[in-house]
Amino acid sequence: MKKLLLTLVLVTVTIILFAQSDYDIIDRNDYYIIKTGSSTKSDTKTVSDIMNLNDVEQLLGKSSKTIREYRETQDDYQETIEYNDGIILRIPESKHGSIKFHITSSNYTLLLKSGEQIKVGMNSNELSMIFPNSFAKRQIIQNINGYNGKTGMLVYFSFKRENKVFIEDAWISFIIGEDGILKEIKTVQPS
Amino acid sequence: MYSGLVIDSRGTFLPEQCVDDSYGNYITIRYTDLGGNTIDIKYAHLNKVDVHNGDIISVGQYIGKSGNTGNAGGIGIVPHLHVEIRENGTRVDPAPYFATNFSDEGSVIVPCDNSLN
Repeated sequence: MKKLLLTLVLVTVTIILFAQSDYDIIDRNDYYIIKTGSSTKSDTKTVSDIMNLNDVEQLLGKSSKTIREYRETQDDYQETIEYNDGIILRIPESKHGSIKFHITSSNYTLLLKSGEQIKVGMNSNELSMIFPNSFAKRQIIQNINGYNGKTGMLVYFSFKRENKVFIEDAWISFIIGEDGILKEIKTVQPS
Repeated sequence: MYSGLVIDSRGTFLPEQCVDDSYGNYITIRYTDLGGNTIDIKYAHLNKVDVHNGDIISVGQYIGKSGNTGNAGGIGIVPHLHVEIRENGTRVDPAPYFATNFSDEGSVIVPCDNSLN
C-alpha cells in the first residue's frame, strides 16, 4: 500500500507539472453549439443548459438515433443522441458529469459568447488566433490508429464561482489534420 | 489493512485502449474487518493486471501497471490511476484514505482512440 501511495504522489506531482493554467480555457457555461449558418436567439440554450433530448432537438432538429447507454465508471445511464451529418451528444441522466459532444463535420459550429466561431474545416491559423496558448502546446499524435500524424490541441473547461475561475479536469480536444485543417472537436472527461 | 482478497479484476483491454465511461482494466481488492465490514478498493485504467480473482494481496505486493485504459482521458502523456473505495458496498469519498491531498489538475493532450474499440 505504501508503494502505491508513493506512486500516487509521484503521479500527482507529474500532473501538476502539466498545469492547465498554461492552456486556454472555455467557460463551461458560456458557449453554444449551433447548426452552421444559424444564429443564437435570446432563448438559445448554452451547452451547459442542455438537459435532455428535447433540448437538443429544439436546438439542432430531429436526431437520427438515440441510445440509452450504461456508464460503468458512474454506475448510471446516459442518453446518446446521434445526428448522421456530423455530431454525437451524450447527456448523463444523473448529476454526475456534464454533457459531452463529438463534432466531425462543418455542419455544426462551436460558438463562444465572445462571438468567435469554431468549426471543422477551419484552418489551424484561425484556431491559433482564438486559442494561442493551447495552440502553442499542440502535439503531433503518434502510434494511435486513425490519428497518426494528426495534431492534438486541448482547451480546458472552466467555471466561475464567487468571482473566481476554476479550471476543470476536463477539456475539448481539437484534432488538426496533416493538411492543417481542423477535423474533429471532442469533449474529454476522464474518470 | 494488511492484506486483502482480489474479488474482481479485468485485464482484457489492450494497453492504452480507450473506451468512454469504462474502467478499462481494473483490480478490486476487498478488506474485511472482524465485524464483517468490507472495504473494496478498485484500481482502474491499468495497462496490465498481474493478479487473479481469489489471490491474497499483501502490503507492497506488485499487482499491475497503471495506464490509460478505459475512460482515462485518452492515450496521453501521464497515465492516471482511478482509485474508487466502497464501504460495505457504498461508494465513499476516498480522500480520507490517502496520506496526502490531491489536486484536480491534470493534462493529456491526445484524444480517446476509439478505433481500438
